Amino acid sequence: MSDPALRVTRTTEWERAVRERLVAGEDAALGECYDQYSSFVYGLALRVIGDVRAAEDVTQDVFLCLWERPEAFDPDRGALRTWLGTLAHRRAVDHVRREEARRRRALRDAAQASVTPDVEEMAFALLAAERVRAALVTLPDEQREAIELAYFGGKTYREVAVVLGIPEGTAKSRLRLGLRRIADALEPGTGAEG
Amino acid sequence: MDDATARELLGAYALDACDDGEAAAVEAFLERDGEAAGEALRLRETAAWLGATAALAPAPGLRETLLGRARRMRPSPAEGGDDPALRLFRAQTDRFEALLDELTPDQLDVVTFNGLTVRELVIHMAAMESAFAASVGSPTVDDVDAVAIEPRTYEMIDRFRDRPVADARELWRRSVDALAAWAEHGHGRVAVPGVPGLDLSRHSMLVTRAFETWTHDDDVRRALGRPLVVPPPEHLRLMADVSTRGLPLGLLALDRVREGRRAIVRLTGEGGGVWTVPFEMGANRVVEGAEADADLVLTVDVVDWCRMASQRLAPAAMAFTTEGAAELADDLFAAAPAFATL
Repeated sequence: MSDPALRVTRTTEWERAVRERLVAGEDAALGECYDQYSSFVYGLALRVIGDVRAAEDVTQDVFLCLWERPEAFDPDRGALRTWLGTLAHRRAVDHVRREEARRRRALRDAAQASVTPDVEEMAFALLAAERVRAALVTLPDEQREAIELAYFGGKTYREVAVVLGIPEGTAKSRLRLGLRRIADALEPGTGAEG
Repeated sequence: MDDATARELLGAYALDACDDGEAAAVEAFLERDGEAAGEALRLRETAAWLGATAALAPAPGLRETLLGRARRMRPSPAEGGDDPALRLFRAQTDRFEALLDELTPDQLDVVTFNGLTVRELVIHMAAMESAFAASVGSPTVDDVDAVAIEPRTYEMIDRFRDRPVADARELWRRSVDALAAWAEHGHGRVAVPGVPGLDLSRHSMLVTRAFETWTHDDDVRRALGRPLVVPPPEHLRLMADVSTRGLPLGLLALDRVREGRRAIVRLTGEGGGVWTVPFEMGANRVVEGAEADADLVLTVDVVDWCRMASQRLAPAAMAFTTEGAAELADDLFAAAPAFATL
């Protein structure tokens, strides 16, 4: 386990408490988690998949997984945001790798016009998201491109290497170095959540 | 994979940009290297924050839909209790019913993997669960002649032809409840409908019924272009376990017994595990763990294995590795779905 001082996100008391309430089967706790993180989970799924219905499916699936087995979320092994985001991203990437992302562009535009931003979650994530955006901008172009292709494009590092015309080893190191730089920019003490 | 290679992959791993085999190798590396595990967590957290830059509120109705499903899904302690097989059966059938709730009338006519429409698939489910309910002594439907699953399915498709799908769904639900009610207190072996001489323990019956329900849940989702749902690890684990323990019987049924030979089946990913499988029935049973002197080590992702065993994924489409007598892997791939029906 990493030194807590080097952690990007700190687990909060609320997360520990809400987990206990989920274990006890309190559905209001699921509602709270949903209110806090649905924009994050749904927005991420939509960005990767580009299809409203599929993004809603992934969102439901992620929160139902938390509901079915809250014990799987271990606050000592990372924040709830990380747990939900990891699951949402995997589900979304599984989907796009299975399906051709044929409807991606058109539906993404339609989706963004038809939904209302969730003010609370947006406010909560705004500062950190701004820092991530800022960190992305300061990354060398080749690292940013690689990360965006992998994370939002759902591509494997091998596919990233093909798209960018670089060796696979280079793709691997760009992903790792780029992510590390963003992590450094988010470190407690330099800002973000914590 | 050596440690240096795994370390290089940490960024790609945090971004889900490795293939399944590589991700499993990285996870094994993280188990033995705490410092690398710390870096992996840090990069995962960073990836989640990347995701936050895309935040967007879902449509307002999704919250109520989700909470409604959640209230129906969580088995209360009285329903399944500490029995993992019954919890699995309840969870998979509840998930399937929640999926049925969301279907629109036009989606009922979409053709699924096995050639049945969604409507016919619901009838197929009703045909199967009612046959099993009868098998445990709790019949839920009268005067259906066929017992074996395929003819029974077609007989019931005829019977339900002019009736609303809700009728078939109601029979399915009643049969599922009858099986669960039997399982609360029942014990002994359950005859598999239409397969003379084949019976299952209560545990295996519940797990295989859940497995089949998951498979058809996937069928509907695949046909409608919706994301597939992977069961939680403890549920996958039960299905993987029953599937590997059935291999010797499958080998026998297909006349692929190889006396004295054994394989280690290593199913990777959350919910996976390791089993040593003899190529014959008898004194040597399937055991958990890797026994020495196996002829073959087969390594494959647990979800892929399950989808192969339900004939939804061709062995050639799986990323698997073998060490040792690779030709024996074909026997296992043949035996895994030996008792799969539609």
